Amino acid sequence: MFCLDTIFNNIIRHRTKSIINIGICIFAVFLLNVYLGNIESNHKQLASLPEAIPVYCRIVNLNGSKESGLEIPEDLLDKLQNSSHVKEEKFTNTLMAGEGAFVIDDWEENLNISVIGTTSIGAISGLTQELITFKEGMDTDFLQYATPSCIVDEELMKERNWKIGDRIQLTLYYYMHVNNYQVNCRPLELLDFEIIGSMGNFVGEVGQLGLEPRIIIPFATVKESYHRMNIPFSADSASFYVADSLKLNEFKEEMQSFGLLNKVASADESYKGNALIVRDSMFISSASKLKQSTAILSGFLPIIFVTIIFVGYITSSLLIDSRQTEFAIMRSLGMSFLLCFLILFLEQLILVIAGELIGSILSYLFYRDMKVAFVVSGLFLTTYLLGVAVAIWRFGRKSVMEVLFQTN
Amino acid sequence: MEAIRAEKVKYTYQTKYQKTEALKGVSCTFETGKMYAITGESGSGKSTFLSLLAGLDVPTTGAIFVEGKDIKTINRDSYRKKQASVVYQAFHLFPLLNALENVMFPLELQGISKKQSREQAKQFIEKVGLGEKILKQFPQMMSGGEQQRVAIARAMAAGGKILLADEPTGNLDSKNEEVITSLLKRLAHQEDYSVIIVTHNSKVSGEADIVYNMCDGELEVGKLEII
Repeated sequence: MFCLDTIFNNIIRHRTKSIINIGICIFAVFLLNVYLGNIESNHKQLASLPEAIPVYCRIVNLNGSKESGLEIPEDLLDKLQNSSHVKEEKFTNTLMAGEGAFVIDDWEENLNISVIGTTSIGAISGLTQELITFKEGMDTDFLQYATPSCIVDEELMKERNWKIGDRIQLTLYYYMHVNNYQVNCRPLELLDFEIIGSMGNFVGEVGQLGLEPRIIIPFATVKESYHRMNIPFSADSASFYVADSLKLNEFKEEMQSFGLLNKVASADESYKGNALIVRDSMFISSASKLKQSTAILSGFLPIIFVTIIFVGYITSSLLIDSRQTEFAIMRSLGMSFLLCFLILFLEQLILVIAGELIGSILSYLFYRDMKVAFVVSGLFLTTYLLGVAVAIWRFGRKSVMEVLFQTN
Repeated sequence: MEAIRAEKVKYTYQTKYQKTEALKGVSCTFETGKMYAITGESGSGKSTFLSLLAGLDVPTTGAIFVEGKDIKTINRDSYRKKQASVVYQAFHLFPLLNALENVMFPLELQGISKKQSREQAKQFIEKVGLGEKILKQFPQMMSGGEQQRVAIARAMAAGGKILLADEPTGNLDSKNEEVITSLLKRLAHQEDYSVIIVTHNSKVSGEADIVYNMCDGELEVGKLEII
């Protein structure tokens, strides 16, 4: 009781020193919070950068002149689909089709519908989900599976008098590159499809001949058809995002191992999809800035910590030094060193905790980050009390006799 | 009755570079009911001897006995709390405590309740000849004489019968010097204290029952003077 009484009375009696002490603690904790908060915020920004600035990749021909109408081999597509560095792949394969069955000689009268097989409607420029009306219970998920379903252009449905839910028969033709400048259409297969949705008008350009697709079918359905007919399968466009942009170098190494090259503007014209464009400049620039800023802040961190230890030590040391006589009198009146130590230590502990609480609350109001506030509080408390303990220990080594007789 | 006894007390200050022998084998006995004066030139070792008697340090060799026990073997904090008190030239009152609180401090330190401490402290303040109006005054508002009397009241409050004083009148005018000296003398003769005063002042030493002269770390036996 006497001990607690003395502690609280000391704090009140030395109110100016107590306020200065608390003020220093508030200031130090706030500054540390701001500093560590900035580092933490940089880390968070860096971690969320892949979401904020996704890195888009597209397969092109070697000179980069073609993004679609390419021949991208099936094994490369499989590797991309299985890669952990790749996400949201969008592949397309453009076909031509005619309604019902017809012989190859009649292609000119019948082959008049542009069809696209795709893994995602995002692969078709200009087409959005809002433009598609689905049959009840259906959505774009059907594009992920090899189902005999399709979405048809509303105008085409009017022309052919088709309705959602109808089953239609399409004879599919695929494109085959004859050389770098010429493609031919070859028969693929006659297939039945159910119309599960219709799409409104949109402005876009996709496909071998730059035709807007009028029917959309799943990419996997096309792939299966090629396999059934023993025709080597390929996609005519492929794009995707890097799964974790922070592992960009690993991603690029993997793409190299898949045989993908960097674009060479001076290369000859080709339909082979064997080069990769990675749109990473904005990501790299932002990530570099963040990393640089974090490195600078972290570089100064040891100096900041040493400063905090120094501030804690000097503050407590000066405050205790200025009260040496007071404690020497207490010792001369028979107070044990342990009790003196306890009183001084608890007094400083109360002041530093009060300062830390206020400093942390202020910092929280600005930064809303309790984790940093806790780390800073713990850190400051430790360094400050270390300073207090050393200052008291130094005081304990001084002779009471020296202090009291010197001031005589 | 013997209160405290020094036997061949030596004390050496040791710094990094040199050793200084402040006391060179001091032996003497202090009894209760008497006022002693230790005189001597500055640096002769008087204050060092007093601080050893107060248990603020221990002799390098030799021994100090309190009630027959070597001071080295007893709890010296407890000794200062219950048996011996020191009064200083610079008074050394707690500057942020008023007179009453200063005197209450050793009582509360001994575990006496606040209420009882207050009552007892008032009595001690009265004993040193100070009135009610001093109770709430802080040291900086008091005269030197008043501060020294509060310091003596605080020393008395500790309860011990050994009162050690280092130049208690060094900062006082002649009128207060007389008041303090007679107060200390009264404590020795009427209240059975063993009062040991270190002083330069011949008027103060003249009032003592026994005067020891310290010279270069030794009590000069030949000059031991009984008034």
